[in-house]
Amino acid sequence: MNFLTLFARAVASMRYNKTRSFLTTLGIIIGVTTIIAIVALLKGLDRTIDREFSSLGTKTIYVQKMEFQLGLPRHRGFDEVAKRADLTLGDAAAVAQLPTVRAAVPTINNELDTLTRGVYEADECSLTGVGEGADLTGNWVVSEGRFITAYDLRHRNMVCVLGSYVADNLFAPGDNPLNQMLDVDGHRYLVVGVLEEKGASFGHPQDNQIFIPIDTYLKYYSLPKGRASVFHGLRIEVLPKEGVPVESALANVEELLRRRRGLRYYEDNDFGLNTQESMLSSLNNIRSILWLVMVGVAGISLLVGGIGIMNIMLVSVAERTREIGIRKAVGANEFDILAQFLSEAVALSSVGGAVGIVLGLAAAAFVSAITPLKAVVPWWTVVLGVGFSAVVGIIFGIYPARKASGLNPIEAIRYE
Amino acid sequence: MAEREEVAAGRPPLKRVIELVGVSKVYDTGHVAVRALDDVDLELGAGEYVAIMGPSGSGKSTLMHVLGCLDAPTSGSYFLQGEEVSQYEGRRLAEVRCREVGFVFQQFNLLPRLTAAQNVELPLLYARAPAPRRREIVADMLAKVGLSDRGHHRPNELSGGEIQRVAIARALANDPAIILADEPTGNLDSKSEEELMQLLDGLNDRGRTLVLVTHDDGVARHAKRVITLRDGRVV
Repeated sequence: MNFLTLFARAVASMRYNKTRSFLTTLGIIIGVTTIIAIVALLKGLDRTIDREFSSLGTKTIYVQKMEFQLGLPRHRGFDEVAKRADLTLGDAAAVAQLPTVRAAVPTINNELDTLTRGVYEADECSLTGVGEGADLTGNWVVSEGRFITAYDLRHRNMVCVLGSYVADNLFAPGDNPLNQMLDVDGHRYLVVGVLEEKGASFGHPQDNQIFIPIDTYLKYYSLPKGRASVFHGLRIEVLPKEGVPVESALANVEELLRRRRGLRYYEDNDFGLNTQESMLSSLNNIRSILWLVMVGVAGISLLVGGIGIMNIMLVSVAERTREIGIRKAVGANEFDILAQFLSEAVALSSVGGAVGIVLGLAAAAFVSAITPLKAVVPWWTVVLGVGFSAVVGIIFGIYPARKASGLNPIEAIRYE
Repeated sequence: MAEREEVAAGRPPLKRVIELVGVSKVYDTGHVAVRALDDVDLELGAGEYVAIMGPSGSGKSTLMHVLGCLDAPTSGSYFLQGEEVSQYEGRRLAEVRCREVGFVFQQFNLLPRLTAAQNVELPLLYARAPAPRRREIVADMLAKVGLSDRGHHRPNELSGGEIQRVAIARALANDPAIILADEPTGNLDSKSEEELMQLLDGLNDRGRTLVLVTHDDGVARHAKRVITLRDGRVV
């Protein structure tokens, strides 16, 4: 009896008891659905993260008051971080002098309420004071006009560069914002540049910014104090020189800032040096937790599903004791009986696995449709789903199948 | 006994389909050891038609199971077609059951989930016969028992007599050396019984070795030789 015959017979046997077979496979269905859906969504998340990161400056080091770690200060309490000394324009200037650094740009920003210009409105804009070179560190491309220059900074010019969202919403289509005046928070600026659209990063819009020279900014706004300074304080965006590894620039910046802040050798950094990699690694922590949760959920449901199959197979062996006796009497050997019951267990779990794959793909497609997360289904998830369910069938089918194959034919035939 | 000497010399006698030499079967129930078969010697030649009779508990069924290789004797030797099958175990025993013996039971003969044709096909599947050959033999066997048109029916759609005829077709599928029938007419009305016995008689007429277990004298009369058991011994 070849494999196909065995499988066909096993499926026929499943159809004989449709309701029971369905209920038996439910655990496997849930397990495989979970695996497929979560893998698809996590893969989608991975892809989203990769895309989001490429919209940030890839090599930029963000010097901030706190270390980036799952968005919360690492090791220390929030208040302790708030008590740290703020970063200063002097720090930025000193970092800029480092031989490994191409640009060190002080940056600070302020959320604005709705901005209006005549009949036009733009919601949730933010005003960002920057030094020279923020277009480099932030990976911005100027589509029209120019960016903030050293000249603007020195003279505290009342000029601004608009993110595409701001330009699109405050100016009529076809109305070039360049060289027009824009009132922001009670002050009037000349629009000297418009940026290309960059899209959101981690759900955080970026094109809603209005860049002005940081010296102009500091004329009107004070630095945030206390807790607000943790997230919204002055930060320095550092871009290493061309050909310089991020790590060596990082080491130079660290050494310089430790010296400037008077830290002893035994003291920890009281500032954060955040790179794309450190953000990635903290995101990877979340990702590995998600994977562990998935493996746990899927593992438990496959275990429960497997036990369900074993249970039903044991019932089936008991019910069909006489059948086994007759089969043995007409010449089936132990292997034949083993193969028969094992193939039934595998058929049950594989059909459950197949249904689970379909449901998992449907669930992933559903989540993709109603959330920004786009599911990605790698081909190996399907193989994984089928493989897992077949393995569960074999593991949990082997005991009942062995029990069946070991039955004494005479006792089996007499079994009532 | 010349045959015994031949056995002792390791040369089992030929042309005998079955030879039992000093076969005993003891069931250990824990308290008492029951001797279901007690030193049974038996020879059956090719083409014989034998009825095994005896009261309940005389060891008929045990003898049947030993002959059908469903059960191994506790002591003694069993030669089937010259092979000492009492030495066999597991896979080889299954092989013997598959190819050398055809079984017909009193009831619950057929697998209820399978059609008549699929039931007849079973021994061929276990003998690893290729599919075209299986189809050919199944059609052949069903024709032999007069049920060519009933192949696609399941057992619950067949009468008692038809079920037993399907069982005979199945027993014949691998062209075995002997057919063992355990009370084959036990659950049949007299008309079906008569038809079934005619079928068995016909098989024997064509040279098939038959062993029937029965307590019905009417059935036993069809056989050419009657062996009576009492308390596990041949009388």
